[in-house]
Amino acid sequence: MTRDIRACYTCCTMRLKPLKSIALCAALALMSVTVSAQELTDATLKQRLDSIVPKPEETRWQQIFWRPSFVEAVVEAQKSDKPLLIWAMNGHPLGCT
Amino acid sequence: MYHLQTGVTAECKLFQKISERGHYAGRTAPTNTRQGTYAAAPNGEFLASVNTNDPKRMARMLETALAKWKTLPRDKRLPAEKIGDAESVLVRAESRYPKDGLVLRVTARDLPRELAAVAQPDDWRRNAWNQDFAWFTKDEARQFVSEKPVVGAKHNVSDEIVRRVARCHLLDFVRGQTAAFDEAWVEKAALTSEVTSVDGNRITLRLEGLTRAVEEGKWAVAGFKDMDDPSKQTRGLETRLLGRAVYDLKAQRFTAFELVAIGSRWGGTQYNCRTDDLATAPIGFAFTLAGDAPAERIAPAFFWSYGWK
Repeated sequence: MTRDIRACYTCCTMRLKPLKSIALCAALALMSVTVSAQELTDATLKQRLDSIVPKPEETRWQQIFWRPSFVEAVVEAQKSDKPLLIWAMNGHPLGCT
Repeated sequence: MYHLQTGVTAECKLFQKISERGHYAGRTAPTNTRQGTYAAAPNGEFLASVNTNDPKRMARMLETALAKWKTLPRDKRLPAEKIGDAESVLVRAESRYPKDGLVLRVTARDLPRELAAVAQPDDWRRNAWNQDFAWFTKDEARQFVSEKPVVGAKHNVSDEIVRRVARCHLLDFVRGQTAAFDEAWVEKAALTSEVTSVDGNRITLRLEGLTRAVEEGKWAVAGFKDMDDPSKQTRGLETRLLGRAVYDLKAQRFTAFELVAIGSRWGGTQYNCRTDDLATAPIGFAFTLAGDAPAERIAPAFFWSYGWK
């Protein structure tokens, strides 16, 4: 961001009409933020991966021992005399709902 | 879900017995969905249900269900005739799980957008992420590695595999279900693997690539609100991919796999909650090795578009 601010300052000190200079600075700032946010290199790979992969607090629901199909859960509930908790979605709740 | 809602097997009848006592009982419009979370006794005796992602409402439903469960005597909660494993006649995609292939967990998430045209909403959508699984057969997994893996060897992963990833996995499902891209909409799909080290049978690879898919047409982008009056739309997704993986030549499988795709998405589909967020915005994906617990053997959302014979 430091480089972007310097670039922005430089363009603003040039002899441009104020509105144009502000617009140009905003455009430069937008481009640089977009590029840095999407920067993907060997050096940033791990950081990018960690920012996308869910954190433990986001996956607590996966600690429940979900059975992958309704019938498997029914058979087990009947054998063990336990209630069923059914999470029903169009698509599979454990993938891309 | 459609099978359970409409089928006639004992398994389906049991689900229908439960769902027709629940929050969407009798519903036919705008759809006949019975989506939601249900609690029931093994004989189908309804305990409680709700369709929400609000943890407090879910907790209340569970408490209601548990309280009712405690009042049921054994003969009121167990069926006279038990359902057996063989009752499910559905041909499930999970039966094609590639146990000797490559199974990846796919995570999709919006990336930060400091100067976005549309700010992230201040609700669950701000931190939304979603997951899917990507499958590759043993032969397909081998195609990520050059025939003769020596240090420096570069190899183009097959078009068919990379295009399938672009069609079926690099999709905006961050906030909800979306549709896969048709083959015709994939403009670019390339992935190269380069051998960076060889340690006995362990081949370390650097993966790099890019994809772009764009669709134009007419469809709804606001759930039920515009489903009867769809309008002209465009949606697209463009990514750069980078990753590392380790392939064991003796075991003939990957022992490590981390691939990141970062890029831009635009547009929306009927149920992916982008109605007011159609402008271009950054998105990221992570492909990592899945475990083999039952919950990680779920078929990819668009498995039936894979074309596996």
